[in-house]
Amino acid sequence: MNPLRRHRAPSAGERLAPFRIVIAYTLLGTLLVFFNDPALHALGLDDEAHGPLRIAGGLVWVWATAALMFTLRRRRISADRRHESDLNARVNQLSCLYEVSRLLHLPGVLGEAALGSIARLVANAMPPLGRAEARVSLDGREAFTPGFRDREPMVRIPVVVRARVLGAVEVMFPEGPADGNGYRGFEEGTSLLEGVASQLALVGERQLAEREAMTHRERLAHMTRLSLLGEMAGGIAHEINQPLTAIASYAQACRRMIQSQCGEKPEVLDAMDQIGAQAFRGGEIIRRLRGFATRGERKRQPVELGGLLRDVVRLAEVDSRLHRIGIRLDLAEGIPLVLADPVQIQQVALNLIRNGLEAMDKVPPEKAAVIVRSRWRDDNMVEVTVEDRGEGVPAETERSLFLPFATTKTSGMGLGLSISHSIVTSHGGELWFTRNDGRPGTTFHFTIPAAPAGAVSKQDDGKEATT
Amino acid sequence: VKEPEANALPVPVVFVVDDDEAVRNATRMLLQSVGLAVETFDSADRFLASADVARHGCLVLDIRMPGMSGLELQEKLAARNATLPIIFITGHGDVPMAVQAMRRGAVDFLEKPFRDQDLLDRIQRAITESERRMGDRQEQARLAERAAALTAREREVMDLVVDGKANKVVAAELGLSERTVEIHRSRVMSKMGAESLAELVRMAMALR
Repeated sequence: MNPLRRHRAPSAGERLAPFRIVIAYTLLGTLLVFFNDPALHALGLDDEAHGPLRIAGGLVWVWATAALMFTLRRRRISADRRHESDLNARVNQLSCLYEVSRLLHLPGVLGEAALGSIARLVANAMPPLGRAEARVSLDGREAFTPGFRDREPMVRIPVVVRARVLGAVEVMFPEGPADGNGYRGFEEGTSLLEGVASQLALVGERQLAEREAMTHRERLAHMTRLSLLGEMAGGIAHEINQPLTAIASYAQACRRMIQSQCGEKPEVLDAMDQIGAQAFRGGEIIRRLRGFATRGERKRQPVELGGLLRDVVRLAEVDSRLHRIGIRLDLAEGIPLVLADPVQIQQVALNLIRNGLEAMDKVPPEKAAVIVRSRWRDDNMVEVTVEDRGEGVPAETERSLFLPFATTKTSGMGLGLSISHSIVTSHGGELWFTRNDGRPGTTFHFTIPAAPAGAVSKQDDGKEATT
Repeated sequence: VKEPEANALPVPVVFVVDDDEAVRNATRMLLQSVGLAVETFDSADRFLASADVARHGCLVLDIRMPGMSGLELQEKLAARNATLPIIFITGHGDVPMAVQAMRRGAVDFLEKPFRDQDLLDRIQRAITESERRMGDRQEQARLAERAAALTAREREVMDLVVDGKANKVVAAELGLSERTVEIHRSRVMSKMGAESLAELVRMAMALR
C-alpha cells in the first residue's frame, strides 16, 4: 500500500464509531432511570412523592457521567489520531528520503524525470503542513509538481556545491499551511527539505566532478591528437605535396602545350580536369586533418563507424607509406550506428594502427600488414580490431601497457594507449589485446555501444546514414 | 632538347617510377609536352621486370614508395651494372635519404613539389650524363677489344709502363733486353691506338 496517499475527510458514521460505548451507556442509563421506578417501589425504597425528583436526579447522574466519559474518550481519540498522523508523516518523510536517495544513486546525470519524481516525493511528505507543491532544480535542470505556481515560495532551501548555489528545493502551500501543528511540524518539514537538498548537493558535486573529469579527458585527448599530428607531420607534408606536385606539373604541361600548340585540345582539357581533381584531393586531406585536430567537445552522437574507420585509414596511410606497409580494411556489413564522439574514436583507431605499424618496423614489408576489422556483437556492442604481424607485446611491458608515460618507443609521450583506454572506457566500451593465434603479432580490440535503433547520424560531411 | 647525335645513340627515354598515379601522369604529360619520350611505372618491381635498363636516357625515381623503395631500386640497378642516371624525387624531410642516394651515385635530387624547369634541366643534365656514360662504355668496349689483341708479354710491358717505369727498369724486371722492351712498347702503342704515353695511361686506367 502506498504510504504516501493523501488524507481524506472521514464520514459521519466513522466519526461517531469510537463513541459507541458512551452513546450506549447514555441511552441505557436514561431508559433505566425512566423504567426502573416500579422495581425501586417493590424494594420499599419507593416514595411516590419523590418520584419525578428521583427521575430527574437519575437523569442528571447518567448524563453527567456520560458527558465525562465522552470528554475522556474524545481526548484519547484525538491523542491517538495525532500519534497516527505523526507516524504517517514520519513514514512519508522517511520514504521520501529513502526514495530520493535511491534516485540520486542512479548512475549518470540526474535527468528531469528523476527531478520530477523527487519533487512529487517532497510534496507528498508535506501534508502535516498542508497540501504542498514542490519544485526541485539542480545544475540547470528543474522539475515541479503540476500545481506549483511561481510565486514567492514558502520554503526555499538552496543546494550549495563548492560554495555555489547549484539549485534549490522549494515548497509552497497553495491553501496556506495547515493549522494546529504549529512550529514543530514546520521545523520538521524544513529539516526534511534540508536533507533532500544536501543529498542533491552530493549529486551536484558528483556531476561537477564527472564533468571536470570529462573536460580533462577531452583536453588530454585533444593534446595527444595534436602531438600525434606533430609526429606525423613529415608524412602529412608528403601527402599534401603529392597533389601539389601533380597540379604544378599538369599546369606547366598545359602552359607548354598551349604555347607550342603541339598538344591536342582534349589533352589540355584532360590536364585541366586533373588539376581540379588534385586540388580536391589536397582539400580532402586537409579536411581530414582539420577534423582530427578539432577540440572535439561535441556530445556523443550516433555515427557511422565505417566512414570513421575509412577516414582513419586514409590518415594512417601517411605513416604506412613511410613504413611501406599496407593497411587492410575489413568492415562487416550491416553494422548499426555507434554512440560516440567521432573524433575520439578516430583517435583510438589511429593510435592502434600506428602502434601496429611501428611494431612491424623490423618485419620485412612483404610479411607486414595491418588489418582493421569491425563486427557487431550479440551484446549490442560494436567491436573494432586492429591486427598486426609484429613482434608482439613483450611480457615485461604487458602490465604497464595502458599506463601513461610507459612508452617503449623513442618518439611520442607514451600517452597513446592510456588515453585510448580512457576514451573507450568513457564511451562505455572496453580496450584490450590478444596475442595472435598461430601467427606473429598482436590484435587490439575495442568496443563501443551501438546507438539506439532508428538513430540518425549527423556527421560533418553531411552524409546521413540510418540504422 | 638535343637531337640524337650522329654516332647512333638511340632516342633518350625518361623512365618515371612513382606509385602516385596523379604525380606519374602529370610528370609524363609535362615531359611529353617538351617532346621527351617517357615510360612510366607504378612500382620499382614493375620497372625492374619490364624496363630496358641498358637504354640511353634517365630515371626519375620517387624515393619513398610502398614495396621496393627508390633506394633499393638504385642498389639493384647498380648490381646489374646499369649506367642509367637517376634523379631522385624526394618529399619533405627526406634529405638524409637523398644524401644517401647521392653518395651511391645518383646524379641529382629534387624536392616535391618542383618547378617544371628544374626537373627539365636536371633531366637534360642526366641525359648528357647518360650520353657520356654510354660513350664511356662504348669506348671501354673498344679498348677491351684492343687490349684483347695484346699478347701476354705485351700486356705485362704495358702494365709496367703505365705504372711509370722506365724501359730499363721494365727490362730488368721482366728479364728482357731494353731493345726488346722498346719493340713491345711500340707494338702496344700501335695496337691500342695510343698517340702518346699519356693516352696509353688513360686507356689503361679505363680498362682497370
